This record gives sequence, structure tokens and C-alpha cells, in this order.
Amino acid sequence: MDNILALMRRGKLLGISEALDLINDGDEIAIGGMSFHRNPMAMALAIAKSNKRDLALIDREPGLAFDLLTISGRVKRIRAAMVTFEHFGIAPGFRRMVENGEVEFIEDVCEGVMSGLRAGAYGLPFMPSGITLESDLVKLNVKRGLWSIIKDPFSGEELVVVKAIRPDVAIIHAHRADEKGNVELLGPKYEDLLKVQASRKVIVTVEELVPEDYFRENPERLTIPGFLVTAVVHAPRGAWPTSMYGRYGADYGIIKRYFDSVKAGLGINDVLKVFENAWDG
Amino acid sequence: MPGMDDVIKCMAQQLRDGDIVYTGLASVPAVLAVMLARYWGREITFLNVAEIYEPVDVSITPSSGDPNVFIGGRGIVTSLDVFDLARRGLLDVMFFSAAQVDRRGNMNLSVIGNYEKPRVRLPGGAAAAYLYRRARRVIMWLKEHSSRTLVERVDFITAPGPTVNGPKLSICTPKALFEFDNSIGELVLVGLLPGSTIDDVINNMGFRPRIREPVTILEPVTEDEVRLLNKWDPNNVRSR
Repeated sequence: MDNILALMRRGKLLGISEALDLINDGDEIAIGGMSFHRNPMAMALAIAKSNKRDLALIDREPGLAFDLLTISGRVKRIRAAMVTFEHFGIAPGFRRMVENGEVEFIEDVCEGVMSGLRAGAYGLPFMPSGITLESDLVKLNVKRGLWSIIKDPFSGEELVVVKAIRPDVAIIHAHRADEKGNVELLGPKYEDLLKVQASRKVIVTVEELVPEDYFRENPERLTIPGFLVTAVVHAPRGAWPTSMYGRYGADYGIIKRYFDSVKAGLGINDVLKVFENAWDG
Repeated sequence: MPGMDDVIKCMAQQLRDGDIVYTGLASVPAVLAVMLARYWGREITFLNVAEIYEPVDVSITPSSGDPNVFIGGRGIVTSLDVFDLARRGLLDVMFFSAAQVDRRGNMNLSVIGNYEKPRVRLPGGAAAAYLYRRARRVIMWLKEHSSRTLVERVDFITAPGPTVNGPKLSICTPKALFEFDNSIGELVLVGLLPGSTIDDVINNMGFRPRIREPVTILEPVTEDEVRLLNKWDPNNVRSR
């Protein structure tokens, strides 16, 4: 906590390795973005190359950053509703690591992740959901202590409730921020705003740093107020090779190379070479 | 051989004037079906996992969650908002595909084989254990019509089939159109895709479905429709 207070006094702008220090072994991390879009790749690559241990990941419909971290050796447990590389196939690292029993996979449902994050963001212990009672996933997640079946106190009907999700850290890539942590996030939001509210620490990497006046000039620009943000990291093209709304498209050539490398059974060090030219030009 | 184009046309034919629809990840055929139905003049409110509200055009990439796929949107509508809409009973159509679907309409996107030691770990059901019951209608497509995909009993019930109260479920495969009969709780063969026969359909699936006579013969895509599908999807992502 002292750490965070010190940060607040000096401003929130950190280098990527300082931001890495905010993540502890065993932390549960909520990953921003979705599929091949607005993934916090700069931070994911830094974590993959770090010596963090026993991390857990959570997201609704993750893609590249999540899959890379899954094979990085830094992660022991993952939770998601679907882990797909869409047209390319099942997410290759996810498939390999789960089939080999090298990471624990908690299969959730979109509705479950959304409800759990809502409970976390709302400061409530759990959230009622529309999850279908007869899904085989219900008994699995009830047994894990993540879901429960209760009676609606008003109608008496049974429903699935989801325990609050309170990640230790959220990592989100956004368009602009100032040194106080005020953030402008354009375009699709996915559940990123819930992740920010639900998480105990929030690391936002941004394409562009702006002066504080940027938000005063036009307050409509503010998406996330600085008091919710722990650290800001300047990471231009920090979503590459995933897309950044309004700035650059997904680089499907690189994503395909990643897919093929992992599917061919390459280890993390060889897979990381796929990203080597990331910020050269 | 048009193949997937006829499946997309079959899916598009299930859409109606006034529908509010949502398309998810790994759902290029669904995006194209919405576009085709709009081309036919059906008024459809188009929501999608890319969160681009009411695009006027599309340009397909390997990701149906790609914001760059959806051109000329009116703004952003989040998936959270769409799910809330569905919970209130107001989402007309959700599209799904599956690795397996069975006679009872149960679907599996979780594992092939044993859950704890799977032969294939599938991507997971995403919204299935929710929207497969909460949308008013579900349109499913299968890229493969076989005894592997159409099974007597799914290996794992990611999402259970419809109940007597709904939703309405239609399934388009490269050979057939099935509809779920909510009163008997079973899939029924109601249509044949171009070039297919009843024997061809039944001999290539893992259970013997009921048949609703007379079976409709679906029309193949026209040259005009193929031209449009190629314009939206020049790299033929839909078929590969």
C-alpha cells in the first residue's frame, strides 16, 4: 500500500519494468481487450519474459495476449468463457497447455465473467445471472466454489449466482492518458471498465501521453478517472500485433506465425522471436 | 461448389424483418448471413461482438470481432448491453456453431472425450450456456455434416437444447436444414440444401432424425449473391 501512495505523490507514469514490479507472484490478472483486438501486448510480453510465478489469468473472450501468457511458464491457472483464435482455430497455447494438464483451466461462460466482474465492480459479494441451470458447466463451477444455485427470494425460482471477481491487477491498453492516470479509451470497451473497477491495482498502457490540459479542454474525453488507475505506462503500438481501434489494424501475418509456431510445439523463447520486430518501426 | 455459400443463404433465410441480432467471435458465416438478409431488404438491427453498432458494410478479416470488419457504424454498443437486452427477453436472434449437436439440441463447444482428460480441448462455449436459451431464436451453422458433428448424445452439454417454451432453434449444415420441435424436444429434418438428398443427410449423421414432409428444397445462391459474398469476403475466409 505504501508503494501505491508513493506512486500517487510522484505521478503515475512508470516504465514497463517498474510496472512489472506491481505484479506479485500468485496474482490474478484481468487482461483487457478481446480476441485480436486491443490486447495489452507490451505488458504481456514483459510478463512472459519476467520471472513471475504462479499467475492466474481471467478474461471473457481472450486471444493473443492470454494465449502467449498461458505458454509462458508464468501462469498456473486461467479462467475464460472461450479461448479462440477464430478463423485460425482453437487458441494453440491454450489447447496444448490444457490438454497436457500444464495449466488449470476454469471454463466459464460470458455471462459468468460479466456477472462476476459486475459484482466485483459494484462492491457486492455475488451477482445473479442468466446462466442456464442445465449446462454441465454449472456443477463444475459450483464445485469450484465460483458459482452457486440459489432461490430468487421474490419468485422462488432457482438461478445461478456468480461470486464476485476481484482480480489483483487489471492490465488495459488504451489510447491516451496523462500522468495522473486519467485515461481516454476510444471505441469498443468490452468489459474493460468493469475490470478497472473490480481490480485492486490497475495498469494502463497507452499509445500516447497527454498533458493534463487535454482532459480539461474537453472533459468528454475522460473514460477512466485517474483515481482508479495505479500506473500509466507509455507503450506506443503497445497492442501490436493486435488491433488498436482508430490507430492500426491487427497484423494477421504475425498472428498466423504465432499460431503456427505454438502449434508446431515451439517453446516460449522461440515463440517470443515472432514478436521481435515489434517496435522497430 | 458453393458449399458454405449455400449454408450462409440458409442462415440468412431464417432472419426476419424487424429482428435484433447479435454475432459473436469466430462467426464470419453469421456476419455474412446478416448482410445477405439485409441485401434482400429485411430490416435487421445488427449488433456484434466487435461492438460496432449498425454497420452499413463489412469487409471480412480472420476475426469477426475485428472492429475494422464493420464499416460505417453509428456508434458503440457493448456486448454487456446486448447481454442485458437478451436477459430482458428482447434479443431476437443469436448465432452459434458447435463441435457437436445432438438429437435433443444439446450443444458442445467444450471437449471431445472425457472432460478432465480431453482428447480435444475445444475453445469453450462463450455465451452458449446463456444465450442459447435466452435469445428468442437461435440460428446454428455446422461447417461439417457428419456423424462426428451430429451425434446421438454430445460428449459434454456446454448448453442444453431448447425447452417447450423456446427458443426456436434452426440448424443449417452443408446438407440439411433442421428445426427443433419444441413440443417433442427433438431436431426435425425440414429442408435439403441444393444437391443433397434425404438418404445423403441421414446416412451421414449419428442419429436418425424425424422428418417433416414435404421436405423443402432450398434454393442455391444466385450469381448475384455469390458476387456480393465475394465482395464482402474477397479472401473466402467463410469457406476455409
